Amino acid sequence: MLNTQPKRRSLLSRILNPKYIMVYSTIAVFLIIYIVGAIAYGGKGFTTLRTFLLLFSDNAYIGISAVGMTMVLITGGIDLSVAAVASLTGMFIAYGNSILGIDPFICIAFSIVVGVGLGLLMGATIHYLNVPPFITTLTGMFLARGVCSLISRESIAITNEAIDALAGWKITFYHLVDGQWEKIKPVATINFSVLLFLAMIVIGAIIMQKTRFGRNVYAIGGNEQSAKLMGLPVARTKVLVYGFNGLCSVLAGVAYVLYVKSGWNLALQGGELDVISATVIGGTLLTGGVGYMFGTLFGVLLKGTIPALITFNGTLSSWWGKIATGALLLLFILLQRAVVSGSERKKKV
Amino acid sequence: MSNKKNLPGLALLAVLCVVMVAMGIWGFALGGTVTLSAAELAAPTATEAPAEEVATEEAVVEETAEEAAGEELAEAAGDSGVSLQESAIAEHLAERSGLQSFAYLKRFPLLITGVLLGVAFVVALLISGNKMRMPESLLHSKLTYAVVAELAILMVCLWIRPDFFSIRYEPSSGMLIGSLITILNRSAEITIIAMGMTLVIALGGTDISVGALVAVSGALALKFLRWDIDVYTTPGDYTVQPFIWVLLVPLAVCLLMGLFNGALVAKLSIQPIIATLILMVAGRGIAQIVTDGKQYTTGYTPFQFIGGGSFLGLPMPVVISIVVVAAVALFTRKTAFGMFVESVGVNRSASRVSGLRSDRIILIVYMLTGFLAGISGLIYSSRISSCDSNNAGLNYEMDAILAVVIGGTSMSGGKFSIAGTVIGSIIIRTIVTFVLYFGITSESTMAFKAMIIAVVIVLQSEPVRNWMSKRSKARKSTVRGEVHA
Repeated sequence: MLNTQPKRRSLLSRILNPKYIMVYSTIAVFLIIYIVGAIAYGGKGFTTLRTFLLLFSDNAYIGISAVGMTMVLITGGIDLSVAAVASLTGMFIAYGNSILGIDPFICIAFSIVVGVGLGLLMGATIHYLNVPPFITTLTGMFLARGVCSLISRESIAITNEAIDALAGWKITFYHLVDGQWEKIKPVATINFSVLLFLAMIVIGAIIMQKTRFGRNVYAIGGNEQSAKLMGLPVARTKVLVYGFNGLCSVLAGVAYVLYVKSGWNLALQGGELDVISATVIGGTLLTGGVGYMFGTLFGVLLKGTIPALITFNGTLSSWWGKIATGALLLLFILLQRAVVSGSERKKKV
Repeated sequence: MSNKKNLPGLALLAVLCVVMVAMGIWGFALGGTVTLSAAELAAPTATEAPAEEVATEEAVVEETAEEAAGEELAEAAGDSGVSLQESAIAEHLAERSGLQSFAYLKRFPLLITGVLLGVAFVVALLISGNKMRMPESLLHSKLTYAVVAELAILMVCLWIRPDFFSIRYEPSSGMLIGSLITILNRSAEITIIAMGMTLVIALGGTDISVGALVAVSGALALKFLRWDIDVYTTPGDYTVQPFIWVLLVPLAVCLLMGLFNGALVAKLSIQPIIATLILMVAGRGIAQIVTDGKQYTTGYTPFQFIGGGSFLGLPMPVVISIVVVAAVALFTRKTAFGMFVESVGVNRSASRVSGLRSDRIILIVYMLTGFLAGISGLIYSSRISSCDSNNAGLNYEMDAILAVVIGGTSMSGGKFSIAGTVIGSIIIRTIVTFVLYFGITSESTMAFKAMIIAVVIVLQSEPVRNWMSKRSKARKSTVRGEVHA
């Protein structure tokens, strides 16, 4: 593609490409809500860099999982097992370390093997046995949750130096006072989970935009039959996408463990919905073929801003957050519908 | 007639069914002599199940039933001593010893029948591999696998608890009591929702908002029952609003929410999963706001009757689910509506071109699903005499979809099977009961549910069924000497 189309188009026209319209609308809505929040609660510290970075660290696990989910949704599938696998990772680390005394990193490695294995298995079931993704991953979710409860029904605290160190590790920003760093009151901090989140977004974007594998994923989502006829490795790509999503779920579980420092069998219940809504708000179509990692990043931030606003308000019940998320979903779905029907009309002409 | 060749297979299935029925009757006959309390039936202790299993095995191997019974007596003495008060122990032990001395008598015929059934299964498999074969349509039918799976789980349950099929009449509550009735009773909510879900899936869609609608319905019902919650906190035998509102408002709201889902799907052509995701996310928030985040409780008898009452010996939820299933079956099979649904599910635009109002059909189906979720919510909240916006209907959408898929309705739309869905819903509940019998906690039942469902789904999946029927077809052609291109 790159060779046949020389760099004729300017950077501006490339940025303003209509295919990014969903991403831009996500960013626009995020900015609107953020500015509204800034006007309403600016005095309470909503506009500080600290609050902004908290959006990242509080939603890091959702974001990491959303990277894999974006890929799965682009193939036209869905994965309901992500939260359960993340919770299972937490259980593995907590039980392995606190009860069995295994090194936490071996536990993480084991979780990765299990998570990726389950993902690959689900992908194979979906592709080779023609079982709908919804049902397959639902079974995977039940399995992972059930195993969580089999391991332990109690919450297990993690007290490990390495985990503590990793959770406590952060890049700290300070005020610059008279040419010297004033090291008493930090402006903001970036912890390991945030870096992992941003790294996964970048890795996901590179895979999707710059590799053959990524283009195959888009092709399968656009039309699986055509992709097959074109000779693309449909089976391999689809199975690998679910495997990659398993990896993302496990990493999300690690980020969550760093966040709460414990393993609980009912942790992140309903988390798969958070991940899917964040991805959809970020402009990924559930019908497949359309979606960008950059959009997902803003989807996660936008979804994270709502609870932050409710916290800053202080009087609203946290349940309004759910309703607001539902309303946001409705807004973006209607927007997507308008965009899709608009482009369909253009095609007909 | 080519069906002649299938006769042995059919006969075998018939024998199987007769044996099952006979065992059921046998279990009913046992009902009089078994004196285990309902609580024990519903939730056996963890230590009991394995002990019985061991005893059963020994009875098979050594055929010394007295020994097994004696062992169990000791076991019973052991675990009842822990759990009961001093005064009650003696009485309980006397009851148990009376029961246990007859244990081998009751276990033996059932055991033999069970073994015979197993042998029949193996023989059927062997024979079908050589000369006879199962009717091809049966092999190709998803329903067959669902029924066989259900029977297999029931057999294992029976093996663990010989009195599994016993049903007795409890005059004080006017209800039949027994494990089978409990399974039917507890599966009622899922069965009712799954009826609507069957039609939605036949349309090629899914409705994942039903669980949240169950919570909304319960919250609204309790809101109308307990408008006075801020004044009086203790529940009494009264309702604040006219009782009809308590029933009508939740159902009407759920119907409207179904209409919202339907409108998004039909008018705006939004993918069903994502359209219903909106209410799934927002629904529990709405329920929570209706009840102000509180858990209302009620003691109003007519309301409690919905979930706890009985009619003609059957628990009310079972009666309601029977009525719903019958109504949906009549509505879809005795009118052309079912065919319309299948037609829209196969190809929406083709149906529209051939004169069907696809949009209207989709709207009706989603409204029906919302309405049925409302009924289910009333049953749930009546059962617990309270509302629980967090846990009411949790994972119901998943269970309902699984019930439909296990029942043989394809997720891609088209043909649907009401009977299959009912069986699917019962399978899911039986698995839960079965796992409880092993003394495993309810949260980890999910793992077993997943494994059994995985087996059923893999067996039902297209490639596997094609492979099975291809095998039997190939065999047939070699027998007849036909050549297939």
